[in-house]
Amino acid sequence: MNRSLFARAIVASAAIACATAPIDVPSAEAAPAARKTAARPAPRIDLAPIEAQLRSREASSLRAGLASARDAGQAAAPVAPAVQALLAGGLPADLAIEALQTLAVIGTEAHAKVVVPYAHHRDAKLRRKAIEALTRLRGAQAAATLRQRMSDADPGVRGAAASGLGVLGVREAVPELFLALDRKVGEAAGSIGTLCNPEQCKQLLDRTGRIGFDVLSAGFDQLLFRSGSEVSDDFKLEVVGRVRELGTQEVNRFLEEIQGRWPAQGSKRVKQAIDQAVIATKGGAGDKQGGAQ
Amino acid sequence: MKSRRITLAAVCVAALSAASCGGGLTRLGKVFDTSWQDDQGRSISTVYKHLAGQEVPKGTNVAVGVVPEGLVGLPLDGGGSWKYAHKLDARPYVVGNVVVGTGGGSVFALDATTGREVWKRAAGGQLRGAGDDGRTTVVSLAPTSGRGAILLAIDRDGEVVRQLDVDVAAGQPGVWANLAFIPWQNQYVTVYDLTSGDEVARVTLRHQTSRVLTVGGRMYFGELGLTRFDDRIGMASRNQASFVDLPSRELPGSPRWLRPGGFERPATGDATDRIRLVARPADNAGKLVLDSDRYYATYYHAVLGFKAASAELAWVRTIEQDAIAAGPFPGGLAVCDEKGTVQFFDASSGGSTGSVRFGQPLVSCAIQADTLTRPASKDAGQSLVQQIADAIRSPETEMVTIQRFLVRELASHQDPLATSKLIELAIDPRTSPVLIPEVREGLSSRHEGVDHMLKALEMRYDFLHDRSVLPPVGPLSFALASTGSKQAAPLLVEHLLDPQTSTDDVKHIAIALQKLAGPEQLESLRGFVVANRCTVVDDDLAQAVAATLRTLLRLDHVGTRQMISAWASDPMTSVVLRDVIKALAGATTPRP
Repeated sequence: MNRSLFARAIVASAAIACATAPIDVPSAEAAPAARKTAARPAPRIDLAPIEAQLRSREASSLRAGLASARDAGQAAAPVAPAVQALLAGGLPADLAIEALQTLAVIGTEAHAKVVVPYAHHRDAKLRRKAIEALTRLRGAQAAATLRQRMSDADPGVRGAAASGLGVLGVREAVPELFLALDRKVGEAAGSIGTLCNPEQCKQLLDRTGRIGFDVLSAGFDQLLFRSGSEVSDDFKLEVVGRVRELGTQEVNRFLEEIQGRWPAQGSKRVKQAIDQAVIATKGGAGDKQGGAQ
Repeated sequence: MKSRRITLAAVCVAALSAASCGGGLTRLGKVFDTSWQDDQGRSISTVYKHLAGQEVPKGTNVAVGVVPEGLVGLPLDGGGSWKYAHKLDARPYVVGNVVVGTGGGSVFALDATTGREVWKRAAGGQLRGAGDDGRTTVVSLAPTSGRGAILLAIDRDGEVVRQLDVDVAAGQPGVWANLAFIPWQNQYVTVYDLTSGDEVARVTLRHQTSRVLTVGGRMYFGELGLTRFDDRIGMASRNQASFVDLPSRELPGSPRWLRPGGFERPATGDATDRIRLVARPADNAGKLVLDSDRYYATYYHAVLGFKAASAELAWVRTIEQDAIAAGPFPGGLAVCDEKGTVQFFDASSGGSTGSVRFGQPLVSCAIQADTLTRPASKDAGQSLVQQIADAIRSPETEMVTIQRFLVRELASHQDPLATSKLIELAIDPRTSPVLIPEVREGLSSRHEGVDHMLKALEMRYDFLHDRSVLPPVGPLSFALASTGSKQAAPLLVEHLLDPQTSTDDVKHIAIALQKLAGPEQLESLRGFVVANRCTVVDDDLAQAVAATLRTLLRLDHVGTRQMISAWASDPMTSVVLRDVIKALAGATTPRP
């Protein structure tokens, strides 16, 4: 795996971790990226100008109003119905995307209904943005739509839906996520790693060697940081062992990343295995080669 | 050449000195005289009466193939195959119980059953046609000058009993009781007494005629249809003779029943051997008809049976190799393929009644199955719809044209199964893209098989389950709307909202929903309009939105008019929709 792919896997893992932080480690340590989206106290702002802009039929005013609402975050929650109304009446694609992004920031589960039609829009970019919005709005309707859109013809939509299901914690979607993973929807790996039960986690591990490590690593990352009550240390040791056997440079980089993020209160046994694996895979074969040293 | 060689001029001179011919037949005058006045059938009737009670010997049942080394024969009644090594410069003819061929500067006749050489003579011209009555063979050869024809009458000992060098366009001759029947100028048949050298009769035919054939012991004249030589032959010039033709019907490749006679054909086969019509004349209470009420067509791998009375397709079968010859027999059809298999089909059902094999590929083939009988077919179970569907699936590229024809046939059947088969063809990735427009058009015209249509609409694109095939929603929408199948509305709405549905299909769905949608679909249809009214750029999609707005006006006039009024002045409404929306906003009543 090249560095950019690996970095993407880590970012994806972090995004999922935002929603499902491990029980036995502080979420801030486990997933630094999550800190960026943690709830902040809503500042008091004057919403009247924003509301006025959102009532305009001028594209520039609308765009400005949507941007202001997004920037205001939860403080702009009272204008969510206005954004919802815009989407319900129809917008040009660029404004619809901005409205979806805005509603994702200021809206709630109750606003998911107006987003769902955009998850079926003929424009794949709009569908993808709708999926991302639903991932943030949450709720049963969002979960159902994401499960359905994993069958979308567009890879970007499928990937967004697969990632979103991990974020939403839709455990019953794991069998579909495996179907997606086996059809090269790489984003499914991270979600499986987040949601899998022991048997399913074993199924993920068993795909080592059959599916590229660049894809599976996001799932293993999630597995290793889950609580001991969800994923046993013995299984985590098995994961480290199987990964170590690959012995490639990308495995070494992955293990070093894990090593660097391993929480102080995390399992010592697992930590020891990771440390040994990092040493064992140093100077490992190139990306295309396998085998432990 | 031991026999007399008589040129046309010599014949004429001899004719002047002869007052009459043997057997009560009278000389007409100059042979092939173009100034001859029609005698209202008197002379030909006299000949018929002269021959009444006699029968032309029936032909041997045999298939004869051309191979690089010469000829191979396969008796169709059983018995061993035979080979005859000889050069061939033209297509051989199987007539009566002989096979006649030319090549290497010779003309020869073989016993059709055994392949034994009956006679062989030096001759330069290529074979154009032949006739045989069991005693004499009449052979038409191409003259070296290229004009007219050389006609030889040769007895079983190889003696040329008569030679005619004619300068008129003569077709394929026949012979019966020492009388040569010579078609010429596409409208006459001259009866020529081989003993006296006199033209003893002539008949004028009102249908293009260049061949004389014997089938089942009867003689026929024809090319475009067949005129029987019977007690009505005297009325031929008044177009009242016994006549049969195939029903007029457009078929792929414009196949012919009978090729023009009097032209040499290469020994190798060509497309006209593969694409042709076949039929056998028969008698029904004195009336000339087609045997088993059938005529047949071959088209490469397809063999088709048609009802003679109505021209409807009765059956269609596919064979593994190209058909290169076909011959009818009472109650059936024999088809010879390029790999050397002769297959038999039941006339009524098209079921197989067996096959025989040459055991080697053939360059060309000829079949004579004059009296052949085959056991009844045990293979008549498949419905015609299924037969058509199977034939359409044949993967050979040269079959596409006949498959287009068969798709139209399929679409015309009232059997609901035809709808199912059309749907299968529409979604099968193996179906030739050339056929898809025909399939879709056929589907949209269907009124039967609504259940099959609804079931097809349940299909969806599903990446996770490897279902990438979409149903032909557009044509199905059209068909369901024309049958008023309101139960289709929820399924059609799902496809309307599916981004995988093509915009062309979306348009047809929206138009169908104008008729089929009910209040249950109101919310979904609004969602469709809202999602697209500001983003649509595609003309089909714009038409779909416009149609959906009309549906909404029908279902919720007041609410939709309010919506439309607002959108009419909204600068965000897509440019391609503005005029439509303004027009709808200005309308006082919704369209039905």
